[in-house]
Amino acid sequence: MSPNSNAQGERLIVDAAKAGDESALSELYTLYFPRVYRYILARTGNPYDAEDLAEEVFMKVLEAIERFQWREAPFSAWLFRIAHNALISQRRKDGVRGRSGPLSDGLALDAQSPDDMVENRLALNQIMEAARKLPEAQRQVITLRFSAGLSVAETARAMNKGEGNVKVIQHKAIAKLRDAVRNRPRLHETEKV
Amino acid sequence: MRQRRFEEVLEECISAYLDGRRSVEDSLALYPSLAHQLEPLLRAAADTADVFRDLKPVAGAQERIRQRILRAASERAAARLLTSQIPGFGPRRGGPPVRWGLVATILAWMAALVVVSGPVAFELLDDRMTRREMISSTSTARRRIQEIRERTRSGQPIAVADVAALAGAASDLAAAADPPALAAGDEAALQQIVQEQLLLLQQLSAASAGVETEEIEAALVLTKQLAASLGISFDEGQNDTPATTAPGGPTPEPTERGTPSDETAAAPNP
Repeated sequence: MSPNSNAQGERLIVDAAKAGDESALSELYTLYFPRVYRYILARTGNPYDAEDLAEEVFMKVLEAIERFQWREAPFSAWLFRIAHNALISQRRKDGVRGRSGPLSDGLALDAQSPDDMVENRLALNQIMEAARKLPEAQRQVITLRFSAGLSVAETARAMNKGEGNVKVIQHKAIAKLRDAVRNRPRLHETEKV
Repeated sequence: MRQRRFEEVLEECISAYLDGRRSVEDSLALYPSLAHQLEPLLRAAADTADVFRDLKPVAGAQERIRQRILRAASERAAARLLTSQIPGFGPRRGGPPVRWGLVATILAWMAALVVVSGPVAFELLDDRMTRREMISSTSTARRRIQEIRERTRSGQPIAVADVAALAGAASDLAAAADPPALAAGDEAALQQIVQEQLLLLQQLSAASAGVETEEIEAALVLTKQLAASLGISFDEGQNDTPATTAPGGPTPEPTERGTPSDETAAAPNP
């Protein structure tokens, strides 16, 4: 669920964090760390890079939150701009266009059973591989919407685009992902065959 | 127009799924005329959302990183609190907190130190240092000052660690000067600069109780060594109260917040 569902509460937390309240900062961290981590992991494909970069993002948030202005963007959009910039910076350092690939064994996945875990990992690898082939804007919309959990309005603000434009980009991106997901082999189906 | 409506409907269904308000099936039932087009897209979107939603950081990582973030926040808060008691260092009303005062003062001290100790030290090369050592020493100090200046220009705040780094630069510069051989005027100027730096670090030390204490103490030790070499007397008491010869009079007792309350005690010597 988007934190915007409690926008007023979030505003209070952000304002308290701006004023230096560490418990408010901790609350923001609790609220956003998993989403920032998922967003970066969906872009890099490496859980260790995702941890490092997510930490870097929150350090930057800590340095810059005093300068955050509500009139410029929602907090989530501001935060994910920082995350996006950190990704771009990391990519420049790496000298490659992303490092997506099969996820390493260090990745933690929510799963009920080992079979589910294997299936989830296969699905994730396949979707990420498909997402990696998307144009940058489509890829960003998909990761902001589905891994970071931003609304269309927040995604639009984070990307400096109109909401209508984001909806069009989202439609195109999902249409391209559709084939990858539709042809995805499922573990239980494979066993039945 | 029709395409636009479809995108609106698709987005509405995706949002409903992501928010947990409706399943894919519920959405298809809600828009029967578009169900044929919607279904493959919604299932792809739902699968994508589901696999991403399952991603979690490695156990313990989130908490470990939280502790590092909060520790950094504490360090920043302590630095802010410490410098807020010093005129010109605290945040301004109606604007973002600015530590230009701190930066400017430190840079001014260090620049003066470079100016004072540089020519003096060059006169002493025959006795104490080679020319290369002297250049290296002053270059190090200048480089550190430059780093701080660049960080300031890029909008980054100045941390207590920077004070320690600049104190290190002071130590480097001290190595370039041989106090016994200094001219009387140069020695007095150098003493004044070091005295002011000592006073600031003593105040920081007296008021600090957090993780930055070690950095301040390290800077203080370096500055004391420099002060001793210049013949500046200072107390070695519990709170390292300022030198009897320090400008601005005696340092006040720490307040309840752990910082000196009398701002004039920290004011740089005119």
